[in-house]
This record gives sequence, structure tokens and C-alpha cells, in this order.
Amino acid sequence: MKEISSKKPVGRKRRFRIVSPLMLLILAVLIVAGFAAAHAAGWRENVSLLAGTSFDASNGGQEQIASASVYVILYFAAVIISPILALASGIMWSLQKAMKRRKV
Amino acid sequence: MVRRLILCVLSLAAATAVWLPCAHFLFRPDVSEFLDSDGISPNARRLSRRHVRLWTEADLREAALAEIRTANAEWDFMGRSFFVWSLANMAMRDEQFTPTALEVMDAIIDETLRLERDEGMYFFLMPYAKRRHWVLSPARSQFIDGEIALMLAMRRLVEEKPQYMPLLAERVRIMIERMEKSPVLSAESYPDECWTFCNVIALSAIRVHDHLDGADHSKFIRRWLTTAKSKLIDRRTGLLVSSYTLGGEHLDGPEGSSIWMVAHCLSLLDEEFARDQYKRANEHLSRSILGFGYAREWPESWTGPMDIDSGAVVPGLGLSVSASGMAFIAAATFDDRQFYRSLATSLEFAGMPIEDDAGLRYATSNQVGDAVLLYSMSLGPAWRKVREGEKP
Repeated sequence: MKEISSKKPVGRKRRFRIVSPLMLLILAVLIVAGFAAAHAAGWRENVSLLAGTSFDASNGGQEQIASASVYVILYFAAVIISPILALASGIMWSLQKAMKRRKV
Repeated sequence: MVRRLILCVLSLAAATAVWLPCAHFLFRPDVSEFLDSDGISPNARRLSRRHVRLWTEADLREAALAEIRTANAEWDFMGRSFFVWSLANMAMRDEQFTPTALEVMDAIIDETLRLERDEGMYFFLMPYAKRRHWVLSPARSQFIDGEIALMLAMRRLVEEKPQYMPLLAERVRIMIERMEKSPVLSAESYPDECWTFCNVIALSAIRVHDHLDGADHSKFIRRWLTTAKSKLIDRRTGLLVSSYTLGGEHLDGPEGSSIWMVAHCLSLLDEEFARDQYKRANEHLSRSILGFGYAREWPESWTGPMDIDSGAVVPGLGLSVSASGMAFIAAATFDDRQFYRSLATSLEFAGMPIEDDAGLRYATSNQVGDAVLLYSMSLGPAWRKVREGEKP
């Protein structure tokens, strides 16, 4: 164990990895944060516009439709995709640990 | 890099396999929040609060009705009907709620009758009602007559209102007279277009009228049922078709947005037939994926269009928002709590509830959707009262 760690270059920053448990977790947190922001902005109210009721295009209706669409996407991402990413992050981290241990 | 990519994909697959079957637990509600065997359930109270405000505060009402009418005039009308029927049942569940319920029911009925008188029936119909030729003359819509008759009947079931007696009796007389002119004992809702949905609502109103006023149309109702069983059944599913011509030629096959309400109304007219239709509808139209329940608009044996009744239909699944909403009514009628809970799980997930001081509503629903849900949470006492012969 000591031998392996001594091989690491001293003082060098850890390499940024796109495919890593940390990135999965960051993505999950970002989605939840985006959803929380949309929710706090009151965009859920606008979702009714997608349920077939009318909107006034001259009075910010287009923006409301856009915000409602973004809200719906973020909502489903937050309740379906985000937990999967968070779980996957944990699973990937555990697998990497286990593989490293096996190598040692 | 390749090894990490494989690890990542495997982890995502494993996480998906773990999360998707568990996700419904996040949204699965306690059914007692929706259904109460004696009183008014908490969700029914919360949902009704907003609608009561709409009908007691003129500004709110005008804005809400203007909004929904731009989308579909039928929705405005059906929102009124389902809300009045809900209030009647709620009043029978809780005496303290009766004065509020009566005030709002009267306001809705009076305004609906005024609009029908001043603007004509087309005010509540979709534009194509004017573009085709009505077979029966003068033109009338069973959709309008049946639902108004049931509104009047349900109001009187809570507490007698003498002014509504002749209005109900006249509407029943007209409906029967027109139904008798068809070989399938049905009247048009739209030009040469009869709907099982509208005709069973009309028959329910006739049945409540018999109970209230001592009339007897039981023979006529039996004749309708016999005719429907022989001429209005889809051979592949055994379900009642949703629409047909005045002569009885089938137009649309069994439809989720119709059959669940039809089964509910049939439960007042012919319990055994109603149960049979519910069982078949369950078999052909109800589905559940990963704990989320829904209803299809069309059985797999039938290909139908996506229209204003079905609402959006999810390709592949056949999931219809309207059919799923109506399925709540049938599940509550037949006390199928397992199906009701799976539908409610989907509602909590995809309905996006909003609760504030004004009450509860569902962001992905609208006024008529909320009224249908409220009806599913409150139905029961009215039909029970008629079956048991208990007067108001």
C-alpha cells in the first residue's frame, strides 16, 4: 500500500475525469439544484398552461410556456434521472474501490 | 478510460434497475387521503376549497372560465357538471358543508341555465355541432340535457328546491321523447352522433327523477339496457362502444374517457352489467408500469384517433390523461382501492400538486380534470340514497 502511494507524483494536482463517480454526483446535484431554482421561481404554476388552457401570447405567454416546459423537464429529471445518477455514483465508486483492492 | 466508461455504464444500468421499481414509493399516497367511507376526505376538502372560491368570487370565476372556454367550451360545461355532482355528494357526507354546497350548486345551475337560454346550446358545444345536420328536430344535445338534468336532480337530492321540480320533469320528458325516436333509444349529443356517456348520464338523471318525484321509467331504462347489450357492444372486448349514429351504427369503439363514467352510471341502473363492464374495462384498458397506474384510451384491439376527449395519448403505452382521470371514478365506484391507489400514485407523480391558501390543485390538470378527481373522491352517497329509496 505504501509502495503504491509513494509512486504518485508529489504535489501534482489530481487529473480531472469526466467519467467518474464525482462527475455523476455533481450532475445529480446540478439537476436537483436547477429544479429547486425553477420551483422557487414559481414555475410550477405555469405548468397549467400546458394542460390545454389558453395563454396570452402578448402578455408574456410565450415565456410562461417556455418556463413551464423547462420546469417539466427539470422535474422529471430531478425525480427520475438524478437519483439514478446519485446511485450510479455510489455504485461506481464502490466498484472502483473493490477493483483497486483486488489489484493490491 | 474504456474501463471507466464500462464501469460507468454498468453502474448506471444497475442504478436504473434499482431506482425505477422503487420510484413509485416516493409518490404512493395513503388512499384515505382521497377516499373516506363516511365523511369528506382531506384531499376532497382541499380540492373543493379552490373551486368553491371560483364560484363565490366573481373576478376569479370570470378569469377561470374565460381561460378554459378558449380551450374547449365542453370543458367549461363538464367542469360545472362534475363540480355540482361532487358538491351534492359532499353535502350528503357532511351536513355542515350543506349550506355552502347548496349555495354554490344553485349559483352554477342558475348561471348554466341562463347561458343556455341566452346563448343557446352551442355555447357549450364544440364548433362542429354547427357544421353538420342534426337528424332529430328541433336540434338538441343529449350532452347538455343529460348533464343539466343530473345537476338539477342531484341538487334536489340534497334538499328539495320547488323551482327545479318542473325544470327537471320537463328535461326528462324531452330526453325520453327524443330517445324513443331512435332504434337504439339514444339521443344525439352532436349531429347524428350519440354517445353512451351522455345517454347513461341522462338515464341516471331519469332514475333520480323517478326516485324524487315518484315517476316510473323503469321499463324504459330496462329497454335501453336490453338494447345496449344487444346493439351497442363491441364484439372483441364485450365493452360498450363510445359513440354511434342515431340509427345505431357504431362510430368509435370502446373508449377509456367514456367507459369508466359509463360503468359508474350503470351501477345505478344495473349493478350486474356495471360490474361486468368495469371488469372488462379493467382487463382491456387499465395498466400499471413500475407501480404507476394509468388507463389507455383504446383497447389494443382498436385503433382510434387522439382527440379532445382522449387528450394527449402517450405513443406505445396508449396512456390517456382523460381516460386515467375518468378511471378514478370507476375505481372509487367499485371500491377498487388497489387500482385507485396506483392511479393516485401516478397523479402525485405527474399531476404536480400545488397547495396554497386557496386550496389544492394539480398543475398538469385543469378545471374539469380537478372536478372529475373531486367527483371520484366524493361519489357514493347520492347513488346509495336513490338505491335505498331515501328521500331528501
